[in-house]
Order: sequence, then C-alpha cells, then structure tokens
Amino acid sequence: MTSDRLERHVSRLKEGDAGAFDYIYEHTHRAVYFAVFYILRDKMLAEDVLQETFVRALSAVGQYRAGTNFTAWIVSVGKSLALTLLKKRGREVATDFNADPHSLGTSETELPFVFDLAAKVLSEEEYEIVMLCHVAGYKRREVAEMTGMPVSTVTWKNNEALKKLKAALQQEGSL
Amino acid sequence: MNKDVKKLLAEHRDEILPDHRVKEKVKRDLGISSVREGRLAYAHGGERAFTSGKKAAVAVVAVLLIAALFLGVFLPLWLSGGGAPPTGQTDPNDPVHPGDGVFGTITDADSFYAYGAASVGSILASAAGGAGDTAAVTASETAPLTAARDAAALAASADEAQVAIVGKYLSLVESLLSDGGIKSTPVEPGMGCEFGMKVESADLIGGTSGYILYYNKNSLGSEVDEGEREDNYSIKGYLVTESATYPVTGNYQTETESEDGEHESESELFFRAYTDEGMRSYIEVTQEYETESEDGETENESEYVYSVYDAGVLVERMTVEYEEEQNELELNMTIERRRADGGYEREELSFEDEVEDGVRVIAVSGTLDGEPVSFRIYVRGDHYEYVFADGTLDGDRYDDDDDWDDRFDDDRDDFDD
Repeated sequence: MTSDRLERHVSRLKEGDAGAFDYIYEHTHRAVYFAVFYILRDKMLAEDVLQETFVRALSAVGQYRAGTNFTAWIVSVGKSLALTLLKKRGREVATDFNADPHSLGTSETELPFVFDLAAKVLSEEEYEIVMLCHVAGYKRREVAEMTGMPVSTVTWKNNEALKKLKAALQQEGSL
Repeated sequence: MNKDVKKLLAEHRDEILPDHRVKEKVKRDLGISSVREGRLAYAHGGERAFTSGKKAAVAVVAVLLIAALFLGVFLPLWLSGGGAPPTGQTDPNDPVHPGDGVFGTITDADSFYAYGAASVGSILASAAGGAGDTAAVTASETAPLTAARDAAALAASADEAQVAIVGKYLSLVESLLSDGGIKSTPVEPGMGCEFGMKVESADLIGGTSGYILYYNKNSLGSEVDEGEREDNYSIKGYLVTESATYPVTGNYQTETESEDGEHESESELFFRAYTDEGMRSYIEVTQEYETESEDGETENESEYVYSVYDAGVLVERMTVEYEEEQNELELNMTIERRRADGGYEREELSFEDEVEDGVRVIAVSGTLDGEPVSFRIYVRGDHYEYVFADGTLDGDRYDDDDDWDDRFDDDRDDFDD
C-alpha cells in the first residue's frame, strides 16, 4: 500500500538516501499544503510555510517514529508553523467561517471563488478531504491512509462536504 | 449529484495547487541537489530559467517524441472504442469494470502480456532500427526522452534533430496506431518454452507489425465468477523482434475490495524485457488501474508506466494517467528523467481529445525543460499534422528519406503465418 511505500522511503531518507526525497514530497506535500492553506487562507503564505515545513521536518526526520503515519506527522508540523505565523502577525486563528478569507491582507493572488467558499463553509477536516480527493487527486483510500480514518469515513465525510459546498454554491448563484 | 462541484474544483485545481518551484527550493535548502543558477532563488521570485536556442530545440524534439510515443502506444487504446477488443476480451460489450473505458479492455493476464509485448517490442524494435538492424539495444537507447535529447544535442539544427528523433520512433507510432487494437494468436512453442504467442497490430497503411512471445507460465491462481473462469499467471520467456531476442518476465496480480455497496479494485502488473545479459538493464511497462463505485457513480483510473533501467538505475520513467468519469476523458503524462547529479527532472503534459471541423485533434499542453509547450496534432487519415504556435510540422515532409521509406515496406512483416 502507499503508506508502506512511504514509510520505506522515509527510512531511506533517514539513512541518508537523498533519492527518497522526491517520492516523499510528491506523496505528502499536498496534504501539508491544504492543511496550511486552511489556516492561512492565502496561497503565497501557504507555499512559504509548505517550504519551511519540509525543510524543518526533513532536517529532523530522525525524530519521526517509524510506522506512526508520516503524513500526519509532517502535516502537524505544517499546521504548527502556520499557527505560529499567524501569532507572529498578531492575528487570530480564522475559525469564523464568515470571516473574509483574505483578512490577512497579504493575498496577491485572487483564487477562484469555489476555494474561498469551501474554506468558509467546510470544517477543517471536510476541507482537507475535499481538497485532497478532488483537487490534489488522491484516491479516497490514500486520503484515508493520510488522515488515519477508515475509507468509509472519508467517503461519508467527502459526500457530506460536497453536498454542503454544492448548497453554498447554489445559494451564491455560482452553480 | 455532486458532479458539478467536483468538476468545478478540478477545473480550477491548477490555480490553487502549490507552485512546483517550492519543491526545488526545499531541495536546495536541504542540500539535496544543486538548482540551476538564476532559476529558483525564491519560490515566489518570478524568475525564469534562461533557455538557449539549442535547449529550446531539444524541448521541441522531446515534445515531438513524447507525442509520437503517445500516439503510438496510447492513442490506439484511447480512441479505438469501436475497434476490435484485444486478446482475452471476447465480447467488447462485456464490462469487466463498471464504466469501462477503452483502457479498461486490458483486464486479464492474456491481454496485458499481449499489450506489453506489442508496446515494449515496438520501442525495442524502433530503437534497434537506429542502432543497427541486427543489434539488440541497450537500455539507455530505449529511454525516449533521453534519446531525444542526445540526438538533438548532436544535430546541427532543430529540424535535423526532429527528423532523427521522429524517425527513430515513427515505426512505433505506425505499428501501434490502429483502430484494430492489439491482437494475439497462439503459435507453435519455441526456444524451449511451452507457449508461443504472436502479437500483431495493424498500421495506418494496411501493414502489420508483429512480435513473437515464447513463454512458460507460472500459475498465480484462478477465479470463477458466474460461470466464467479467469486464470492469472506470471510468465518467463523471450520476446522476439525483427532484429533481436530479449529475455522477458511478466506478472499479473489483482486485488478487489467490496464493502457497504462500494467497490474498489487495484491491480499491479508488469511486463519487462531485459536488454543486458546481467538482467540489470531493462524496459518495463506496468499497468495499475483502480475503480471506485459509490452512489451509483463510478470512477475509473488507469496508469501506464514505462520505466527504463540501466545497470539497475532508473534513467527515465514516463507515466500516463488515464481517468474516465461520466464519459469524460482526461489523460496526463509525467516524464521523470535522471539528471547527472542523481536527482530526477519532472515534466508534465496533458492531452485532450477534440474534434475540429470534423477532424480529430489531440491538443497537447504542458511544460518541458521548464518551458511551456502547446501544440495540436491533427489525425488526418494517413498521417499526423503537428501544428505549433509558430507553424506547421507535417509528417509528409519526411517522405524523401529512403531509410524511412524502408521502414514501411510491406515485407517487414516477418511473422506472417
């Protein structure tokens, strides 16, 4: 399975095989990115934190305990860095779904409305599942492995989230 | 249903997904590999890589080559919905997977090995054509993108490079581009093996390309479902092309899960032809497919991967992902190529099937060497017409090349019964 292969690549990286990096990055960076994006609501900031997350986490990859879900580990590193960034900027965590998604005032790229709306109406968990399944292109089985949820739970939450997003889009006249 | 939402998200994915330069910046910060100077100072620096004219020529050649490979290997499967089914699929209307697409017709060991023999055989045969008529090729000679760059580097002009590379692979295109799909028939066993299979594909001008597969079977088990019996087996044997014989191995394994009315299946398969005696160099095609069903809707994904190993090292890998959902087709190609420093460069191309004034057009877009590429391939009955933004490159321009004409002689069909 994907998680087994990922663990093998992480082990290789720990042993100093830099060739394992590409596989690890390709199979985890989007999970980190969307988790961070949900917190920051800004593509450029999210990319910067994504970069910092991988540099920090992989520099300290020896701290990762094998077999404990590497994706979840590196996502937690990313979330921590994103929250630290928010604190640094003297902002509060955007838990208000009605908040302006660009309230940080740092966004230079206007994203399609559907992403803003998704971040507003979906919970963090729902948002990550929808983005990973339908934007990042992961299969539900892979998302289940990343998030540590059963596939059936991912499927159910995904369907509920899509219904919620569809209703919101229809309400906004965008669908 | 939620199809509209899914489609909306997918349509805008490129606008939200992170920039690929972030990865290079991470690698640079970690000291994993050097980054070409002046290209990646910042993830958001907006800098562009300097590209020389020659580099641009190489990119064009590479695009043409990839297009040729795409046309030869995948287009027959993609577009030949009305064609004859491959070996092992006796009824084209028999849905092996829900929402079956054309790629989905390769669903059993017989059809997969036939496809592997045809596509790998074509690549090996065309590579041998450039290396000498009777010589077996080395692994690196079969690496399409690497070969494209090497040839382009030696060529005096971009046009010459294009001719060299397109010529090298045109037989692959012609031998596999057919609405008839890939057909196989049993032949007398040989080379000490218990079984023989002749694999044929018709080309556009009525000729055929053929390869012989001699093999022994190793049973991996069988399944009986509603009266139908399916046998899975691995193989070991030889692939005989016009110019050389290559040891081959193959494996076919599937996994199916059903739970709460949902169905998921995965397969991992490979067909491998060795290009050195030590069996550390080889070209391999693998297929992975996955189907997911929920709420009466089905998503199919197929992935075909061509990997070229030289002395145990992966030198080039081309992945083609095919996705069909509600009769909408999407095909994306990723090319990974080993650099001198041991890292891999990654390029992506996407293909869309369109009709323009009644003519089938394949629109190709993506990046190569960090440069955006975009062109259209018109399928005009007996040839392809490549149309770039700055002009037209038509396959007919090569007709004066005697070597090329030789490749289309009818007498090349050495495997007729």
